[in-house]
Amino acid sequence: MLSRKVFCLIRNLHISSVKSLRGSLRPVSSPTESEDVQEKLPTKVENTLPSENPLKSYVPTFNLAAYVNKSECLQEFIKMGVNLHNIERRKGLGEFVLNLNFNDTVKPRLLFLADLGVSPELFGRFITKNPLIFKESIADLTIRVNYLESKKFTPQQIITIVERNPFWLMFSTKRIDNRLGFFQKNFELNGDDVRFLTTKQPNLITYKIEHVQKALFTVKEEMGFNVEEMKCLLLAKPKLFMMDHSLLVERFSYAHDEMKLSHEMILNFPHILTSRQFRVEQRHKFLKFLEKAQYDPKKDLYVSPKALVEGTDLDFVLNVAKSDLVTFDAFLRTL
Amino acid sequence: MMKLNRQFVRSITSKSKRIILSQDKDKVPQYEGKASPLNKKRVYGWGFQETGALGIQTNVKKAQERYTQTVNFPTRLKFSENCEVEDVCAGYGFSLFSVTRSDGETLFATGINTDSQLGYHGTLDVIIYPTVVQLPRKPEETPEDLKVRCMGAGRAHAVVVTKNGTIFTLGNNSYGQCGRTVIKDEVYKGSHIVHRIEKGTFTEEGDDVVAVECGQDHTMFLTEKGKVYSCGWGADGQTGRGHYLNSSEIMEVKGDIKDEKIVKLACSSDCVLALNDNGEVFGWGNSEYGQLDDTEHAPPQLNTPKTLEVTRGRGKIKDIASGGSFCMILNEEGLVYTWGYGILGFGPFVQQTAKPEQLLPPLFGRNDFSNKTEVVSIGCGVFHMGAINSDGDLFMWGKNRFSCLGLGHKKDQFFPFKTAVNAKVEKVGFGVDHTIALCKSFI
Amino acid sequence: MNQILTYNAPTVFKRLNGIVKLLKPALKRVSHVKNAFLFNVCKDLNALNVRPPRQILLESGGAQNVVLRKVNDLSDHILAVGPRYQIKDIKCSVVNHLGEHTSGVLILGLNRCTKNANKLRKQRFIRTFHVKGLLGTSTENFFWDSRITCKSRFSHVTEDRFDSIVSSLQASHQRSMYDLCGVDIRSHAGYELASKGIIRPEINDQPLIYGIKIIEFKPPNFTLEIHVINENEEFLAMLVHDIAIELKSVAHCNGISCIRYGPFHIDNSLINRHWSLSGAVHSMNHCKNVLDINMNVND
Repeated sequence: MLSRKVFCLIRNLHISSVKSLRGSLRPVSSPTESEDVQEKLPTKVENTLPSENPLKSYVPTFNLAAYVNKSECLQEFIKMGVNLHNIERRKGLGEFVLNLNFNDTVKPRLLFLADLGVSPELFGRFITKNPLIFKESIADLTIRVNYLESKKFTPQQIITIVERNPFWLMFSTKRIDNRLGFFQKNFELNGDDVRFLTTKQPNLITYKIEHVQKALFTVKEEMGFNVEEMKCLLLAKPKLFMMDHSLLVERFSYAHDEMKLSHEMILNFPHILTSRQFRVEQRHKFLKFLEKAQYDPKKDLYVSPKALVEGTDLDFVLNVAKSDLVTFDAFLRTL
Repeated sequence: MMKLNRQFVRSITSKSKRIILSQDKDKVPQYEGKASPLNKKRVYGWGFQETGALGIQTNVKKAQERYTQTVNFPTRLKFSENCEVEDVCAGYGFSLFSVTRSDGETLFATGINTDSQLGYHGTLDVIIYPTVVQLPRKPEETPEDLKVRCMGAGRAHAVVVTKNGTIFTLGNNSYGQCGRTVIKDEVYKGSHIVHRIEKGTFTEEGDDVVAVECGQDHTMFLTEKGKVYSCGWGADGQTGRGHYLNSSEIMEVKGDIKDEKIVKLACSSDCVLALNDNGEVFGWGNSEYGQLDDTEHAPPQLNTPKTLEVTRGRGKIKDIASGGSFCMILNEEGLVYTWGYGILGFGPFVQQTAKPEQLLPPLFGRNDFSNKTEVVSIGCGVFHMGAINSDGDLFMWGKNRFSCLGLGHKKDQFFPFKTAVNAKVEKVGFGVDHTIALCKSFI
Repeated sequence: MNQILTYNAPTVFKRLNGIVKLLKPALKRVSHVKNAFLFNVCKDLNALNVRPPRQILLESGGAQNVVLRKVNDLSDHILAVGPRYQIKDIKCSVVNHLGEHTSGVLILGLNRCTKNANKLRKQRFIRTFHVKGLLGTSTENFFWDSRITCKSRFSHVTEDRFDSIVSSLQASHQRSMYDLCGVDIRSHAGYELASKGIIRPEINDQPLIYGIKIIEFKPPNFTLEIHVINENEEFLAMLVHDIAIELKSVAHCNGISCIRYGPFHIDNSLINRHWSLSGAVHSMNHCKNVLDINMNVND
């Protein structure tokens, strides 16, 4: 309890004003703060720098690293490859992780995941992404996995979903059901499509539904795809519906207006929408400069939009533009 | 003036790409613009306009208005857009243009015509727009033969040498500067006379005139073999023929340059410089400001060419120029030296130097981002000087009569100052109160 | 500078002092470019042999037979304290602040060369820009990425008209060069200043054009080459707008590229594919050579 208090106290300080003390246990105490601590704590606490119990150490610190040598749980986390540095930057998570009991809380849930089939190598990434999994009860987790099974997801698919989206198991079955229903209804998907989509991009299902709704509007009304085409886009590049809308429109308008790609072409090569704008722009302009920007498959010297955006600059220059890097670089400098 | 309130701009600007995309751009008209042909020479002119020497105005009434009296900034001549101008030359209040045209005319001129130096144009004293100068042509002569090789213009006479070696002289001949016998009380105004000197009349066999240089009232011819011939006014010895008499007969100039191969002559009024192929400078004519000889008892005039000792030790000379009271040389390293009397380019305090003094390269556009810039060519009017650097920028300084320096004002300029010509200057004709520049477009 | 081959990150980091020359893309802020570059440099540094975790002495074996063991200090582990090199560890100062719409040379000073970078900034070099314009339409912020406010004919705009406008503009700016340094052009002091070369104005906020040329004119597109000091990109865009207004037409700026900043030319600048540790080292050596040749600010 006390430790939590100290942690809160520290969080309220202006962290930016004090230089980061990565890795060092050097006590930092500004006058106001140490007075504060003195008020609340008995005086004997002050000199207990090397303490037996990590939870009784009241030395202020800015990061979890200070507690690593004293907390068995954090040590285990590091051995698993959990990035504590990443966790502590997120609000409230540092405290939460610090208070975890490895044997009581962590171990059962990891065992559960292992039983499910999640590869132990991925635990580090999993916990880094979502340490809050340790808040959920085993019973809830079991129900959520069972739900997936009931929806005819194969065990392999379930493992993929959980591995790819550590947050999946945080969502109640009701919410997941709603969301799957939303996608099924709006994109006119059948059961297999839903399972395919969920496995391919589980993040999309748990993404902000409002954002997806807006993206749906953008694709449908602003870009002018019909429902059938939208479904193709969704299944090919689910990521499009998680992108910033303005960015999506910008990329589309560049492909459609500037590069004169038809809707069918974009549908066949949605890569052009997922590739970064400057990349498409640079390469298209270079091809145009070489007078090789010909995206009509029916004519000679056809350049596939997929080939345009794929690969490194070297691949592009050698294979698509049939030029050399020096020319390309010189061209980029004139932009 | 162009300071911008950033906040204001930001607040009225919509950055969202969508709003821009949603704008209907179909209504934006697309017009085809006219681009001028590439590599075409351009002519800029500035200075005194009332003489018509700039050929800018097309309306006689407007040309005589007070506000059009001078042209303060370099202005492109419309004439040069319609014609392919190959060479320019500026005299005292008039300009000559050598052109290539489909109708076979090769010489155009504009400006004062009181002595018929521009040929016969009725009784007009002033021609305000370039007009054709009819050169008397033999039946067998083609337009190609009559193309201008070189030309020169003095106070009131003009000399043109054509490709086939024929020399035409026009205008005032009261001192014999046209190379024909002086006729007493000859009326030059409205005169039809264009004197024609056939090839080889005064030169040796196999030698040909390659350059002509006119002083105020004398004329000098330079041949391929480096010989110099002169005629005209000789009161200051500017004909360099050992006497101070006027002479209408074109004869060789001897003295120190007798066995030298001269490659360039320079003269704007009555002090003549000559450059030989070894980069040595010779001079004759008026020397009253000590330009040619600054020793204590030096004569104020030299009537025979003399090697200029003062220019020794300044490297191999590449170009020369001489004004009314000062001289200028350019050496192979692109360094410019001036001496004499007047505004020499060393600020307002330096009025006279006897020895050539160097003008620092930064004055001619050499600075930290163009450190290879050097002067490639120099020239002089009577009271002002000019230099062209390797970037094609023209720098001018000196007396700013009728804003002939093109700096946008009429105040004198005491050090080289860049004239705002928006093209690469190739050749400059320095008149007495106007300047004509032959330029190449940047593109 | 001695050539060494090392995979030791601290050694590399110690030598990471110098001026680098990046190619800033248009529509990316300088801070963005700087962060992206430093991020890549840090990533590369961390991929080298970084410092292993500290070792601590650990007592074990109970009170009777104390055994001291050396073990890795987990609290110094990368996962606990974060990567060894982070963006904020590299000191970085920007020499020329390009605007958001500008592309071209961006000079950064890294670590101990931030001092040199400040010196360079105080030298106030003349910058050369290629400003592209498009006749016929004007926009809200004078750049290409905002709404069109006005359209016009431009068939009457000829190159020589353009030239005359631009040349008179240059002359007025050149004269203002002498005005801004507070010296009468007709005085001896004026001559002495001029013989020193380019006169840098004393004040920092007044843009001053040293040279402006039109280097391409294919209506409706045109390109101006502008040598300028104390500029900002709004000034250049507004210049295009004003020139067009003078020509009885309208135009907006279609691209600004800083092709030269004092001695630093756009050639050999790092394009974003080369924003990496090795690129940084190459660029540092290149810039050092450039500075050695041009001046002695590198001491």
